[in-house]
Amino acid sequence: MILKSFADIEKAAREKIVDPVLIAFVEPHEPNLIRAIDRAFNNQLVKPVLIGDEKSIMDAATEAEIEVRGWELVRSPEPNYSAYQALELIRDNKVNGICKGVFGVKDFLSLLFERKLGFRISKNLVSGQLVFRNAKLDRLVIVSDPVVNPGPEMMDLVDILNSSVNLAHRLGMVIPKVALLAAVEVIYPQMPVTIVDAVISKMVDKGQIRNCLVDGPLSMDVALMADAAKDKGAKGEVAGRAEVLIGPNLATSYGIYKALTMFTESEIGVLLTGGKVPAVVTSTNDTPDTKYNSLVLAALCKPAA
Amino acid sequence: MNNDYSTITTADGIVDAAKTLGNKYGPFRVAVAAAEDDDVLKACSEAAGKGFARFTLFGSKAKLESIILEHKIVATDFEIVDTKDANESAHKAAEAADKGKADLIQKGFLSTSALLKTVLSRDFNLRAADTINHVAVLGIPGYHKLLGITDGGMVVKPTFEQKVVMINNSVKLFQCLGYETPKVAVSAPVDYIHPKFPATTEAAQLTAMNKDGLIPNCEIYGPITFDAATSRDVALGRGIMNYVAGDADIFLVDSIEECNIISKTLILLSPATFAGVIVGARVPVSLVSRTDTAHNKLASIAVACLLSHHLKNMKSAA
Repeated sequence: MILKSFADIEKAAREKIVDPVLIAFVEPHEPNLIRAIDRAFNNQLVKPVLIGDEKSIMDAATEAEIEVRGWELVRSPEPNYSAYQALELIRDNKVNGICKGVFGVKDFLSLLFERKLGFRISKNLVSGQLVFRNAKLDRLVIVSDPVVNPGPEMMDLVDILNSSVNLAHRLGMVIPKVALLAAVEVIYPQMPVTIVDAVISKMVDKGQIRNCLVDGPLSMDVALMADAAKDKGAKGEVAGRAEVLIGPNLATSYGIYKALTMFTESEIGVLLTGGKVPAVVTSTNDTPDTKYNSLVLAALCKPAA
Repeated sequence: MNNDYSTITTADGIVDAAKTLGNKYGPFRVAVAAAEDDDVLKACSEAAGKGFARFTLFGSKAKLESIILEHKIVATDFEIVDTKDANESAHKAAEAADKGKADLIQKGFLSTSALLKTVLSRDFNLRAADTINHVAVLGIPGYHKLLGITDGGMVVKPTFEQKVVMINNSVKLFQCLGYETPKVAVSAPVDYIHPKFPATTEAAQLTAMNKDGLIPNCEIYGPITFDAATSRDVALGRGIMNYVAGDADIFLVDSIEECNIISKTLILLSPATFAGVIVGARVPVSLVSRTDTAHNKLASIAVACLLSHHLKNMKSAA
């Protein structure tokens, strides 16, 4: 069944999960995150392993007015040590997810990606996947990559696309409709992004990309809005009905993420996929709902045992 | 700087200010190049109805009359100049602007590049800056002021030199909206300087040049990401202590895709209002897209009117 909202995703995760998913929280001494964890715990989606300074965590819990009961706590004197402990738990198959707390994104990602530690598997490209629902649209939409890869080359974009398609499948989209975003809908040699998009689209015809429909270059309005697609005479299955949007670079996808968070009424969740386990790397300023939604996505995407 | 209106913070404010100026100094004279486009004519008719602009339509007289009739467009304030094709229309519209008979040019049914090629050709003295760029002026619910974002329509991948000119052009536009010393945030994928990302080093250089007085009349800060540029909380949370961070007037972006896609996200899903104008020529060039709402089209014409008034004032003051 195709999921239409975060309530649907939550329901699907609860149906799928037998035992709550163990997730390691690195430096979670932040009231909004504690609230999100509490909700995920009460809904039996997540079993948290908190790693950090006990007093800071308890203070944050007190501030959030939440009683930390039945949550595992691993004491750690120092943020980097907390991250290393979480990565060891991943390496030893003790947890099925990791979540960033009060920790710089840049520093967290570089620890996460250290090759000798537990998160990275083989040469898989790790990418950020944003899922949002806005009242102007009748569906969930995935945007990638707003977190990890600053200037993806063509084959990086294909990897990002494949990660998005995997996530789309988990959201019940059987043959997801993928739009490769650009400023225009046609191919202009003076806009290199349009050529890259056109080549990737062609890879679908050649069988190099499977299990989805892809069209690009497409502009944001033509990809998302049926009216705009009709007005601009865009043909094909994807235009006006896109379920996955692949941004040409991180600045663009991050801009979408933040524009949605700050200035629209959208439900949002963000997940890093492509590692050994799903990772939640939300911003400190994200709302408790966004953090909770991201944890629900992590629970839904728990790797098969 | 101007005594006719105070700092404008909404799209409605742009239209109101154009009305104020139109009442005081007479309606703006708009040359519509290749006017055979029902959408553009409807927008012109609405602006004429508000009383702040008068339109001269360059195009095939027969075609124009039949469009006006078919779409029941109120055309009382339209003057028509019969031309044989889009080229001639563009040429005559540019000529009108060059000779001071038009305050601004409105793009009709021809490509932006064809129009600009004519406007900037050696036949006329309309070229002012080395680079011309498109600025989207957004009224975003939840942001405390207008946000100009450039360039999502013309300059594909600006060079460093182009960025300098684009800042100067955009600063003039924001001055005409009542922002005396506009705050310019320069976008990059990350908000620290890293040689691997040229956008970050260029942003740092622009900031330094501004400090040294080489890019005047504005305050520049970068590299900075969209969220820190538009939210003081986010900026402070990341340790960015700067006037521009969280209070940006202009967001200068590193590629056409980034700009186009971020502004469309806001316009489609926020919903932000939008006024677009091309800056850097001696007269503003207004363009509206078929998919813009009537409200946004009107705001686009109005913002071009305000800019033309400002450019004339600057010229007479010089």
